[in-house]
This record gives sequence, C-alpha cells and structure tokens, in this order.
Amino acid sequence: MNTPTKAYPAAATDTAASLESRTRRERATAWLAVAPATTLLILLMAGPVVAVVLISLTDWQFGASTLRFLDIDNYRALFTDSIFWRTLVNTLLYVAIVVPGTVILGLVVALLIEAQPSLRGFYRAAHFLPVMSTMAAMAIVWGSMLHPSIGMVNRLLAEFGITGVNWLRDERTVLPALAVIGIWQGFGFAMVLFVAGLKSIPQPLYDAVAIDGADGMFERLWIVTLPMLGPVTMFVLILTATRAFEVFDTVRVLSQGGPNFASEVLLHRLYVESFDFLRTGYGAALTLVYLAIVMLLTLVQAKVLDRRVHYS
Amino acid sequence: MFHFPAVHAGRLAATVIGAIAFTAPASAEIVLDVLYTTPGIFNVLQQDLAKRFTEQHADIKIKFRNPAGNYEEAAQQILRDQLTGRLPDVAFNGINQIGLFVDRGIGAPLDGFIAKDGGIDKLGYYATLAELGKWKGKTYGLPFSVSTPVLYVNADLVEKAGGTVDALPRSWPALIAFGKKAEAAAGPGNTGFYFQWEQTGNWLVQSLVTSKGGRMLKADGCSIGFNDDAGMWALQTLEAFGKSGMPNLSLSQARQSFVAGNIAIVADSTSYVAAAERQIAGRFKFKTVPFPLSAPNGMLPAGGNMAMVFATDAARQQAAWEYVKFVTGAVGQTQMAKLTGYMPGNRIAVTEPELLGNFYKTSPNHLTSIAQLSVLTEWASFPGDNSLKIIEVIKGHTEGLVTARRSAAETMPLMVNDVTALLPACGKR
Amino acid sequence: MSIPEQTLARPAIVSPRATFMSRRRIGAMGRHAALLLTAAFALLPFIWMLSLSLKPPGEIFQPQFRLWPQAFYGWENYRAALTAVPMLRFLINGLFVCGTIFLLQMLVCVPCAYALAKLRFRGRDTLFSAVLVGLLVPPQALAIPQFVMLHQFGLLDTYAALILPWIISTLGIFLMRQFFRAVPDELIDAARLDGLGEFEIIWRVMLPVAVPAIAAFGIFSVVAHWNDLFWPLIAVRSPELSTPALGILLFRDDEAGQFLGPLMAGSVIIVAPLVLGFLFAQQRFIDSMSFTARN
Repeated sequence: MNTPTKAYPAAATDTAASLESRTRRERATAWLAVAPATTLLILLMAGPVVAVVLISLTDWQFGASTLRFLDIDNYRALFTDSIFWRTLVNTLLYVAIVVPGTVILGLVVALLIEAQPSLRGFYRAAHFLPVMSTMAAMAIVWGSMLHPSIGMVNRLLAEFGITGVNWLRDERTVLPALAVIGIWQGFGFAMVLFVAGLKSIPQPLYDAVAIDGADGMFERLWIVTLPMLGPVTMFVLILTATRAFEVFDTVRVLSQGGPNFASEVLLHRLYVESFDFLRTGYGAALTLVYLAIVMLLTLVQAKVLDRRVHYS
Repeated sequence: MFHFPAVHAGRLAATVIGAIAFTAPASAEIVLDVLYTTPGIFNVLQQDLAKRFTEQHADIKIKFRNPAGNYEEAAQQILRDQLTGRLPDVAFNGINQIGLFVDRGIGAPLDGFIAKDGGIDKLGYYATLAELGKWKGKTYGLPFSVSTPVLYVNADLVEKAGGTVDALPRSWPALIAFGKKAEAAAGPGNTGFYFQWEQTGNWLVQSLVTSKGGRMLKADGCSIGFNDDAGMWALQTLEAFGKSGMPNLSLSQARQSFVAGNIAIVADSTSYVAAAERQIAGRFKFKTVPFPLSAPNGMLPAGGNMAMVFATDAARQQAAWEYVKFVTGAVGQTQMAKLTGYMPGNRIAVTEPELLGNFYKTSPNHLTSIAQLSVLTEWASFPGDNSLKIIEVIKGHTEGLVTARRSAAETMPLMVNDVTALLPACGKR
Repeated sequence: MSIPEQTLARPAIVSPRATFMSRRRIGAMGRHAALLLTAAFALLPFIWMLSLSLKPPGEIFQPQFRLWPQAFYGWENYRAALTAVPMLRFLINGLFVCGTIFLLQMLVCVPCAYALAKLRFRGRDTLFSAVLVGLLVPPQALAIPQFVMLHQFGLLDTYAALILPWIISTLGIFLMRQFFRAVPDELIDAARLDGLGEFEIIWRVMLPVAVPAIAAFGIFSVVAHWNDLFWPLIAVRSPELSTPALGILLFRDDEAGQFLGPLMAGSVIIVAPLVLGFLFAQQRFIDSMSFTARN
C-alpha cells in the first residue's frame, strides 16, 4: 500500500485549517464513494455466508416455519456419507487434470504463437473462441460428438481401427472426458494471458543472456521466458483452479453426476441436495465445506507460488 | 428465522413495483399457469393445443412455464413451488406421481367436475386409464398421453440375420440370442438388442416385473412387492442383458443409435414412435412389436402423463378444468396422437374415423400400443417423502445389473434393504 | 507438442546460413503443424455444430460423415429453433440482463475502486482485504441464502432475481482499483484545481481514462452472465424471463434430444452473439484481456 495521494499543489499555500477541512472532505467523499459497495458486500456476500453457516447448524427446510438447532449433525451426516467423499475425490481429480492441462497447453500455444508473426491473429482468435461460448450449449455439442456410434470422436477413432468406448457412460472415462471439455474451454484464456505476459518481457533481458552465450531458443526459454512469466502463471493458475472447482454446466447437461456417481462433483451435488432433494441444512453444510476447500487451496496456491516467484 | 419486519416492507415494495410494471389483466380474463415436461416431444403439441383452446375460450389465456426436462425434474420443481407458494394451475406429469403430489396436499379432486359434465364414460375416457388417475378413491388426474412398452425393430437388420419381424422371439433369452446373431450379421459398430432400462420412474424395470405377473408394491400400497419370484426373475433378466455384453447407453444415445440404423431391436416406450418415424425418414423398415409377456397373468405399466389441476381458487379451478377437459378430450387427444407417439386416453378420438380412426389404419406402428390396452396396470410409485430418491436408488441397482457388475442374487437383498430404509412404516405416510 | 519446440530451438544454434534458413523453415512448419492441431481441437465442436445444424434428420444419422449436407436443411432447422421456444426473447433477455448487471456493477464498483486507489480514509485497508477475500468466494456458494432472500422479498421469477445478486462484483472493484492506482495523481490534481468535485472527477476524468479496464471487466462480466446456467436455473422459470443458456435446455430433453438439427441450430443462435462480437473486435478484445494479466 503506497501512499495514494500526494499533497495537492495548492495545499502548499493553504492554511493548516483549510488543509484539515480538505482531509475531512476527502474522508467524507471516500465514505460516500464506498458506501454502496460496502452495503452490498455486507448484504449480498457477508450476510449470506453467515446465513449459510447458521442454516448448516439446523434442520431447516425451505418453507418450513420451524427449525431445530442440530449442532454439527449435518456435518456428521456429510462426513459419513460415502457419496460426499466420492464427490470430493472426483472434484479434486477433475481439478488435478484440468489445471495442469489448461496451463501447459495454454503456455505452449502462447509460445508457439508468439515465436513467429505468421497467422498470429488467426491462431489467437481460433484458440480463444471456446472461451466465449456458452457452455450449456457447447456441452450438448460435445455430448453428440462423444456419442458411442455416431459421434465424431469414435468415428475418427474407427478410421484408425480403434473402437472407442462410450465416453460419458463409462465410469473410467467420464471424468477425464469432462476434464478434456474443461481444458477445451479454458486453455484459450490461459493462452491470451500468457501472450500478454510474453509481450511484457523486456527485450534487453534477452540481449543480456545472449551476451552470456545463452542464445539458443531453449535456453532463452528456460533462463528468461519462464521465470519472467511467474506472476502471470500465478494468475492463470488461480483463475483456472477456481473455474475448475466451479464445474457445473457440463456435469448437469452431460452426465448428471453418473454413472454411479463417477462424475459427481461438489457444486453439482450441492445443487442436487439443496434444490432437487430440498435438504437445505445438508446442502448448506456442503456449501461451507466447498467454500472452505476453495479458499484454502487458493490461499495455499497463492502463498506457494508467491514464494517461488519471488525467490526465482 | 428470516421473518423480520423488513420482509413485509420488501414484499410491499415488490408488489407495488409489480403493479406498476404490469398492468393488471382485465378482471374477467384468467391466465392459467401451465407446466409440462419433455419439451422436445411436447413443445409443438402444447402450443398447438393452447392456441386451439384459446380460440374456443376467449376469456382464458394459457401461459406456459419453462417445461421441465423429465418427470422427476418436474416433480422436484413442483415440490419446490409448493414451498415458495408458486404452484402452477395445471401440470402434466408422470402417471406414477399422482400419489406423491396428493399425499403432500397438492392437486384438486376432479370428480365433481367430471360428474357435472356427464361422467367418465360420456366424456370418453377409457375406464382402465381413468382408474389410474385415482388416488385413495378420488380422481386427480386424467390421461393426457399414455405410453406402453414395445419393441422397436429395424426390420432390415432383422432380415439380414435371417429373421422376420413377425417371427421374432417372444422370450428374453431368445431375444438376446437373436440380438447376438443380428449384431454379427450387421457388422462392427452395431448393436443387436438394447433394453432402455434407464426410462423414467424405473418404468421398464417395472415392465419386466409386471410382465411376469409380479408387482413393485404390495396391494397395501406401502410395502415392497418386488422381493418375490417375479421380481427375482426380472432382476435375473436384467443381469442376463448385462452378461450378454449389452452396451450401457443413455436413453437418447440408444434412440439416436436406433434411428441411425445401428441397433436391431430396442425395448422402449411408444412415446418415441412418431419422432422415430420422422427421423428415420424411410431409410430402413421400422416396425413396432408388442412387449413380450412372460406369464399368463402378465401386465404392463401404463406410462406417460396425466393432466392435474393444482389451482385452489374456485374460478381458476373451473378454468383449469376447462383446459384439462379440452386437452384430454377428443380434439386434444387427436392432435396429441398425431404429433407424438403416445396413445390417447380418450376412446372418442380413437374410434371416430375423421379423428384418429383413419390415422390408425395408415399407421400400424402406433396401433401396437392400443393392442396392449387390455393388459395395462398401474405404474407404481413408492410412498413417502423419499419417493423420488427411491427411483434413484433402484436405478443405481439396475445399472449394476445391466453393466454386469453385480448378480441378481447379490442385488436383491441390497435393493430390498435400501428401499426399505427409505420407505415410511405402513400406516403412516 | 514437444516436436515443434525442439525444431524451434535449433535455428538459433550457430550454423552455416543455408542450413539456418532450411531449419528455420522446418521450425515454421512445425509451428504451423502444432498450432493447426490445437486450433482444430478448439474449433472442431463449432464445426460439428454448424455442420449438424444444416442437415436433415436422416443425414445426421448416416454412417458416413460429410461436413456439408447433401440436402440443405438449414432453413428448416433454424426456423424450428426460432419457433419452438421464444429464442429471440431469450437473446433480448440476455442482452438486457447482462447489460443491466454490468451498468449497475460499474455504478457500484467505480466510486469504490477510486476511493480505494486514490483517497485516504479509515477502514480502507479493511475494505480492500474484504474485497480480496470476496474474490475467492464462488458465487454459487451463496445460492441458498440468496434464493431464500429473493423468495422472502417475493422477487423469484423476476428480472430482479436474475440481476440483484450480481450487482456487487469484487473482481470489478479489484480490477478498477488496480487500474486507478496507475493513473498519475497530477491528472486528478489538475481536475481539482479546475474546481471539479470528487464525483465529477470519478465520472468525467477517471472513467474515460479507464476504458481498457472497463472493457476488460465488461468482457468478464458479460461472458460470465450470458453463459451462466446455475443461477437462472434456480431463479426463473417463465419463458419471458429466461436467458439464452437456460433456453438451450428447453430444447434438450432425454426423450427427444434426438432432434439434433434444431438443437444445434439453437446452440448456434445462442453462441453466435458473443463469438461474433469477439471476432469483430478481436484485437481490442485480446488487448483488454491482456490488461488483466499485466496487473
């Protein structure tokens, strides 16, 4: 936090009293300026978070006029529910596939695009297109591409003599298939951010390492490019991880969490329990666990990466 | 806990805003709020019916909600609406769910309206089907679109395997064996036989049970009935499907594959007949064949949906009844049969030549369902708060069987156990 | 993916000029080969979608796949998509909802971001920390209480239900604050000397300067809400209020998901506005997006 405002040029000639009144006016303006945002933060975010905590401690259901304080029964029910653990593992697995996949693919594509000028515009646009698309609609498209017999994927595989499985109905493949769709949607965004990062690397840095004799493309990449991309990488990682945790549309449209809960993820479970089966208290407990995991992982990630970025 | 005074102020404000934003409708006009399901099949039909209805009743407008994807989703939405006080006036939902709603105080009995307008018979409803709309002695639903399980046959593939549609096997083991033959004859990428086990409300699983003379629920309506020989036979049949290497397809995947000409025989609901004919567009010979009954007292559960009235206010109830009467009446049912593959619940529509009489003469695939009318029984639904969850549980066990992960002998006790745990004790709701 | 990297790595090795040139060409070809492959991965679903949306039902299910239909059926499919559900209405709703959300977000976020960046007041650091924490709270986690709140206020199934929960955006405050901090103080001081009040400075001096940041945030906001399925699924169920993402679900049901032609046509209609908007303003767009990375 550096000092946001210098003394006004006019202030030099002002008396102490009018300086005082200026500061007071600045403060009043500031409070006025942040008032709407602060009110809404409390009303629409802080309040609901508190409400979720409270609901999770009760047996309250939508519309019920009474509720009973349950202590931690909802959490006990949650932690003894094998489906919850399966859901948690699935979500982590999904994130573990999508995050590295997105970041690595995005980085490689960005490096390739920026390596030479030819067709740069086309490649950037083409790779970015999935980011803009409506996932609910594109999920349906993917669903038809992954159809076991008339889908494009298995038809292509058949050309090479491979019999494709029923990707979205096979316990072993459904989660990876959804993860590939997740990577498909996100890697263009990572690419654009990496391109921006590449552009902000000052040329003199490359010149300097060239003098040291390290002017091979690979060495330049290793010594200059990747370390300099540290901050962008952190941003991309956090963004991708947050998005991966929020996976919902593809699951809702393509697998509804099946077969046999093989693709059930936290957010979809949360929706099903709270809004389909109306188990509000249980849903709230699940929400809180979800919230805790996302915040914890983001913070850890930020901490770890922060250290790496600084010491490299 | 959320009842603080500000709430009332908020409600008031919302009402005021609402009143300003939308001019109040003329007092005589009633706008009926209508919910239906499966938009892919019913969008065109429902819009057509609403238009025809409004032409006759200028004082009643029909306003559709976003249709729900399937019966379970609709039921979940309706239960949610009950809690937020926003129930639709008319709802079309699975025949199996009438009890689920009525037990929760949703739905108006229609007997008074029926009597006033001349009774079930004069209105033209098939007695067997009208009976299915009853719950605890009162009529809450009238048949809108009725489906029965049938076999969809790709006659070209059957003939390629040396069979004919008329001489198709009538038992499941023989059908599985014939499917294998058809699969070999059709070449790689094709499937010989598929059973749509995932159909909503465990409907095709129930079909197996009842086709052997069994029942899902005992006559008392509150205890498990599938834990007998007929039930065991049904589970063993499902296990045999799985062991035969039948692929695990979703409902729509199997239908897509069938109309693509990649499956020889599919056990499925008649609801899809019209759409299948349109999509096949004559690329291969498509026939429907009755569902095999495996016992002399074998029956089949009537699928499809009924029209129910949820409105509570007398004037709205009357308007809702007019709409229900129209869509389940001769004109409504004629349109229904022509635009979907479902069977009408109204005799008048079927027998009048200028309505559907001639249609059935030229559309034998639609007639298969009518031929099964005499063996129709109820599509059972388990009572209690966990009714919808039980459907999920049975679906999970079925998947274990058809993917050959578990045997019928292993599944039966587990399934009995799981369902019992979710059922309320007899005598209580 | 490793092949092109290696080929790219070679040209810089000191070598006779002729080899250098040919290696350079190999490197360029490798680059194109790799990028075409990944571009194909990115674009295939769009191509498949467009192709199916032009085909009659019979052709979709043919065993041989053709990119271009033998019998052109696009007109029928798109007409079906536009008439089966009030698709235009959904698109207008999408525009209205996304536009309103964005405008309100700006109204709330810009003054707050300005104060956080340029003014001194007690509680500033606390507020900024709250914004940072808010960045990490996934909006879906608050769905239950927000649903209850909207129910209590009788606002379910209204435009307000679609808009209200989103008018506070911590991302918006964060991005704008970062940008404002980079604006030189002299600009503000000059405006103050001209006698402008603080709020005039915000709207008449800072806002025009902040166009790149506003564009970047606008893209985030509009893309997120145009494409959102989770919240509209809970908040509304009248067709007159539905947004495009919700609209697509009305086409699709397990019973008849087989009408792939109209379904794909509907998908094209829903996806098109954002994709076309992007293609038209591509360069500016990517610049705006990169802005977020530089901060």
